[in-house]
Amino acid sequence: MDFLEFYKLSEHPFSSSIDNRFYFNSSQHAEALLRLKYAVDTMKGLAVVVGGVGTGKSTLARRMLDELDDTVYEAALLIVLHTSVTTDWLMKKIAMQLGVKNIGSSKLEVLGQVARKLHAIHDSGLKTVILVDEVQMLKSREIMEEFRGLLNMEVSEGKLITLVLFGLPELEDVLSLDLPLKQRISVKYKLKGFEQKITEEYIKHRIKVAACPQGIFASEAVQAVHYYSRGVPRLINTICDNAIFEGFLVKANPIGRDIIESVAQSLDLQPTDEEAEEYRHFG
Amino acid sequence: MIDKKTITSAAQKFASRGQIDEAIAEWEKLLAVNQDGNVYNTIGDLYLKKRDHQNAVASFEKAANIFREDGFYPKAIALFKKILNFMPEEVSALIALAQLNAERGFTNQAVDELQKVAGIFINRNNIEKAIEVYERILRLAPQDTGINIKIAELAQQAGLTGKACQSYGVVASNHLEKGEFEQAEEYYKKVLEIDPQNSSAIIGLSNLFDRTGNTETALQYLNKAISANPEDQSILLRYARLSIKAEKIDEAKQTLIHLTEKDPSNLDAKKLLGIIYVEEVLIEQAWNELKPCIDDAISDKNWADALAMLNNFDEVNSTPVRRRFVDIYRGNGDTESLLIHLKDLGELFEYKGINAEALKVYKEALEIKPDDPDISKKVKQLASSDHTGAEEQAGTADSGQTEEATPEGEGSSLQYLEIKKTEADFYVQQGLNEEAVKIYEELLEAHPDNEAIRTAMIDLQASCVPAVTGNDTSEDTGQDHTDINSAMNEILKEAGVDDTSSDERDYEAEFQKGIDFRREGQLDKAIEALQTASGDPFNVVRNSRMLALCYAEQGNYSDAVRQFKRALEELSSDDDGYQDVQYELAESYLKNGDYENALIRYSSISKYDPMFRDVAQKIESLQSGTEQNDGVFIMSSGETEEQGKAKKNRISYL
Repeated sequence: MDFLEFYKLSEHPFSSSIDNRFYFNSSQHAEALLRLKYAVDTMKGLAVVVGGVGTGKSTLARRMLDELDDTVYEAALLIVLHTSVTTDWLMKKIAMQLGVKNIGSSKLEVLGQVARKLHAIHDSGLKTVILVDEVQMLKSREIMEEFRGLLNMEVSEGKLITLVLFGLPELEDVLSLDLPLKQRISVKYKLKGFEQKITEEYIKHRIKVAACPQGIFASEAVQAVHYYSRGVPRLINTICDNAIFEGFLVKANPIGRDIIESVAQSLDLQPTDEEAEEYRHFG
Repeated sequence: MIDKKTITSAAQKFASRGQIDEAIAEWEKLLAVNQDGNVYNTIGDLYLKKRDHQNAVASFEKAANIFREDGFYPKAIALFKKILNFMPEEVSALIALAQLNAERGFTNQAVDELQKVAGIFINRNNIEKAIEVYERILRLAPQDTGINIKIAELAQQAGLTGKACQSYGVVASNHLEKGEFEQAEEYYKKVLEIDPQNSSAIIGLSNLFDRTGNTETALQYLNKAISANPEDQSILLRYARLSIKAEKIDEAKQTLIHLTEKDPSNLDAKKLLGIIYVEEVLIEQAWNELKPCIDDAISDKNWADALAMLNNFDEVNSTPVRRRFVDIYRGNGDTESLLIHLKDLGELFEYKGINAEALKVYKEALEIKPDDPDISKKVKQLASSDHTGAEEQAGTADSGQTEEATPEGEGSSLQYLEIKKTEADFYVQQGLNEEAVKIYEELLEAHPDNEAIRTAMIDLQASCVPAVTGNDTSEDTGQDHTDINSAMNEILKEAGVDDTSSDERDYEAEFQKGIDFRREGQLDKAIEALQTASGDPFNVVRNSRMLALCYAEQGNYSDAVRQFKRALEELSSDDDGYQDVQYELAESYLKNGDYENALIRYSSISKYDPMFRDVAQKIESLQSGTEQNDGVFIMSSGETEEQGKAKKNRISYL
């Protein structure tokens, strides 16, 4: 019997990879989506989402892409993988994603093609949206200027393209490399860790999606998960995933606080003294 | 007696005439009777006037310390600042000032002052002192990663490699704690650049990769740590845990066996090993490993943990097991369960003829439920038994022995013999022939003349190897099956137990029906028939694989995975067909959206044969998360292939 069977789960409920089936519509993610959709629908130009490691930015980006109906939006998601992206490369990728054929070799040529394509998309009644994830890696003033250049393309209703940038808090510094671009931000949303109640709901939601008919964690275990993860979804996943495994080893059902504490310890998730004090009170 | 007024007046007179030394001498007369901060301050001013900075500093410091002891902190601070006005690099004043600020809770100011001190030491090339100061800063601001980096850099510069490694390690660990994996990796690697065998960094990197889901790399790092510290129990235990996580059960088992052999008191290792044995249905080995862990949990009154472990042996009806259940329920106050287990234990003693122990147990049960007629009857019967007195002695001695015995190795009464035969029969039905053989071996020791037992055991021994290999065609196993059945029938007849109704022909017929239904496309009916056929312990691989294929054709990949896994468990990696089944399992994982496990399975096949079918291509696609040659996009999530195709052009990587 493996641990999935032991806990009557049909699949891993706390895998760290992004899976839209497990998407949890927390109030802050719902609000962020609403604001971003507003920015897109009103052709505002530039929207920014920042959040710490593991707060759900990439999940939100994927979700947003999913929700942008391709009969209404010409949308694409670019995921930055490394820091050495050049302006040429960026523009060619955008051109490619917009469906430009026979992309030119010079940047000027590509810019002209992108501009014509944006007008064509607008004329066909669609709105162009480019989502870019992990933008903090693009620490280049030239790239920021390139983004600004794209946002200069306008029609009477608004910008021809909406850029939605996702990144770590350092994204603020990257945007500051081109202050005029920073001034063009029309919607900005900051993702934080969940409140305790939301952490509880999040855990319940994921277990439910994994088809478990019953709860796996005792309520004090859930409190401990929140405490050690500080409500950061990725850490919640890591702790719960490990706790399920550890719980299975000792055949604990439901999983208690002791297992969470042991997992948190082995993962080196130590709280600050202040947080520890608070925990002692609720513990 | 000293006239303070006269002395003061004389000192002031000398000072006004520029006779500084005489003035100081007068003031010092006052200090002989009273250590006054103000007097020291005045003397300090006089030294300053004659540009004797060293004595001026000494006097101001004395004054400041007196004010500080008396609780006049602002005065003390003012004096230290006064020193710093003319001696800006006076380390003792800066440190004293920092200490005062820290005592008053002005940590930032204290840190600034200490940073200045450290800077001074660096300028003087006194690196060790600078490090000491930075360590002092760390006590005030323990979370300051920058300070740790500074310490590490300085230590490295001064050739203090141990200190440098320790500090870089702290930085890495802080980043890891915050989930800043890249930075954590960078600093752990800095440690390894200085000391390639540094265990803490190697383990840290292993933790990091474990947390980021890269269990293989995590294991590689632990392997490195083991090479450097082959006998470090905590590393070995960590390795075993990770191996289990990576489903490398054999490796985990070997590590745990090594650990428990080296240190039989390592209960963590015993516990893990015991659980592995439980999963492998090696009950006796599991009991040997878990028994001390259960006892330890009982002595720690950790009832939940003890119960969780003991529940693995719920089916084992032996006194050591039942006694521990009783101990636990007695300890955790669950009287309802205690009563049940006391009755079980009582019956067990009774049936083994240890009536004195049985009586004791029933009496305890009666205290819990005085109105229980069955228990009352038992107590009366046992108490009035003619043999009780004689058995009391023998029973007690026996119970002492059985406590140390394995759960299966006890008793010799006829009734007990019958039950053990039935137990062996059960194992045979489950395909666990080796377990059945063990039971027969024990029985044979007690009953060496019993031919039925001997025959059954020989047959079973002969069937052990082929019964679990992959080439389980019906022709291969049919003979064994028949022999075992006939032997078992003999035993059952002897024991007066009815033969069971299920036999190989039923299973075979159901299997054939399953095949026919599948050919006709009637998958539901095929599955129904194959589910019945899967009760056949002698064709587990064939039946499970066929059932899995039906599930997969139905699109029910979760059940397909389960059945393929079942088939795989029956095979050893050397068996023909092992890689075929593993490939089918990987395909089911893939189609079920479980890319992680699919990758693990494809990688496992690749190790065996890198050219096996399209495994290399599958691994490459799964690792890159990009397009395959056939245009199907492998999403990094659980989306279906259709969904993946739809979004193929919407996601791109820069």
